[in-house]
Amino acid sequence: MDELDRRIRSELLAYTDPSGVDGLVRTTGDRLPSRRSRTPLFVRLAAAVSLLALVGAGLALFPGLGGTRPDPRASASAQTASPTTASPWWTRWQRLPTTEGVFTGGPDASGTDGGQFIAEIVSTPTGLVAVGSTSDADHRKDAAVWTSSDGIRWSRVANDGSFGADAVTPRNDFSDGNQGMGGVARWGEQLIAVGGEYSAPDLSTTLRAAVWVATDPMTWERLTPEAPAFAGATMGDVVVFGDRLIAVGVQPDGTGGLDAAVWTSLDGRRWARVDYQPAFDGADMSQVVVLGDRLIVLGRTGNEAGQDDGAAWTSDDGEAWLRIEDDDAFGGPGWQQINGVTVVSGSVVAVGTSYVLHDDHREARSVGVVWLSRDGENWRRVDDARGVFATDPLTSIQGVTAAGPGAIAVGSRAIPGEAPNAFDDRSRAAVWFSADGAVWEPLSDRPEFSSEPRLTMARISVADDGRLIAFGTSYRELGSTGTSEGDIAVWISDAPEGALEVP
Amino acid sequence: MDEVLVARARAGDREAFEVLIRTEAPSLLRLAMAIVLDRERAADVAQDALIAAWQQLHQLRDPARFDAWLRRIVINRSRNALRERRPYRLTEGIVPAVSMPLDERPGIEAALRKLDPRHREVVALFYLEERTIEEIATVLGLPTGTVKSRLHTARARLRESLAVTGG
Repeated sequence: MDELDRRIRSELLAYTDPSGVDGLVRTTGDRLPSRRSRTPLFVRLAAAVSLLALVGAGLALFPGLGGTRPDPRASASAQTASPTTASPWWTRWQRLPTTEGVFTGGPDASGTDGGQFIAEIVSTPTGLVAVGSTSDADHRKDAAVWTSSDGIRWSRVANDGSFGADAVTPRNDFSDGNQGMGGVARWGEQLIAVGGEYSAPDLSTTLRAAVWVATDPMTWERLTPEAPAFAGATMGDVVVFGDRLIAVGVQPDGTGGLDAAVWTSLDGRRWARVDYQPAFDGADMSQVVVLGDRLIVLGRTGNEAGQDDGAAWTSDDGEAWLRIEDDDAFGGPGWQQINGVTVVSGSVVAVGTSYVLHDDHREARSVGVVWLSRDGENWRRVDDARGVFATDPLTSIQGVTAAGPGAIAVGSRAIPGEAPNAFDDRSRAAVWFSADGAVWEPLSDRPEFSSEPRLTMARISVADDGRLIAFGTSYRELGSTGTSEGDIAVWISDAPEGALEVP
Repeated sequence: MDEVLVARARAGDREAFEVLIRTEAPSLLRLAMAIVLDRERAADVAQDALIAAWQQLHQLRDPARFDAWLRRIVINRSRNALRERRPYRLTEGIVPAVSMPLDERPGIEAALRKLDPRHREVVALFYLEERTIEEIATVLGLPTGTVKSRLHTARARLRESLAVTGG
């Protein structure tokens, strides 16, 4: 804490002097109402059904009020929609209906107060599988899996206990904790999802990695949580590398901080944590891809200014790691955050966001960033001289995928709300295309990307038929504590007609 | 935080909750004050938050989360309070700061007013409550990167404002 910090704290303490709090305590005690008894579940369910009926009736009478949530009946037309313009297929998107209880609501599908998040999507012989987490009104998270055979009709896999704290026996610090999946990979006939678990509220003290195995997308089993390899750590991503699985994440450094961590497994069920090495020091590993016969990992590390820079590692065997130190590529003013990575035409394409300041330091800005490497060791930050990643005050790239002969990146573009009250931010989904990872074109605004006030796009994948599936969040303000949470928003592109073309 | 007290209060023990009120009220009042920048309104916010906490405490599954949960309620109530007074706040900034006599330089309050409420929330939790980035992320339900970014921005603006006001 330097002189400025001490002064801020000192003046804040003086300014917020809580004199008069005795009166507040007294009157609050006097005003406490009798605690209401909990309403029986069947009464709450009946009330919810009644409310839905009323809302439905209201929307039928006032169709304009329903404009922000697509009509579920539109799914059939989404499936059969045909191109109406000459623009490239990847520029033609439509927003899928938000199915209640699938992409909305809490884990028990009866709440309306939770949030959902999709971390990664994988294509399987029977369709797409998305993994992530859901949270209930109490902000308690469970892991979650969604499946779709066609990319249009989605369902959430029922939580039989494997995704939440029920999987934790005997009861311990995690019994009422939070679980989430961060990455997923196909492993032969199985799916392997990795993630973490923490006992709220302190993420750093009680943490452990988690692995789920699925023999089919609807049947998941959580591996023994108490395995020593999982203790104190969390996994962020997983990839198949030759005859083994490689997971990356973070582990405690013994002094209250975190180091990067790597795990290996030959069967998906027995995992070993790679011994600590200096390349792991003080960093997070968050994404992993395979480039030829080499593993490439992206993540973050702290710099001398106390901010985050990007970081990269390579390994030829998953055991010995080389850390790439490159301030020019991964440093820069503000905070650098790498959010996604893919391989396009023999190059690694990483995307993320750089948080910077205006020249006059009045307001925070963020810009999208792309990093490129042909070998994982030599990196360059793509020069955005045309400003395609800085079209709005807050522009962010969250995900990327290889698609045809190019790459598609997704994110959001936002305009902050009017000062001094900035809770009316408006954000819209955003898409960029590149044939080579170096030159990018933004997709111009689409009504589907801004049909609600606060939409973001964060993850993207490719269905078997070549269509792009993008997931994001439709943020709302809801709940007894007024917390902002989000439902999952899903978009799907038209099917490709041929090679990608730049519009 | 006394988890036994929280558990008792969650079970309906009013006396236990009143003990919690006495413990928490000063810091909640400070937190609300740093966000809404109005002492009377902050007292209303803190009181409303405590009453809401009492009414909803049975929904809290883990007593160890009471601390973060209660602050989240205060912050959300503070946001609501700011929303309610927004039409009046539009007049702020019309009077240029330079017109104020030097001996009435307002220091930290003026600096806080130049921050948007999201930044004030992070400032209050970091400087007043001395919470870590991870703890702030938990209270606000934000990624740690977002918290760091907001704190960085807020600190830069506070530095500029406090230097300008000469305090």
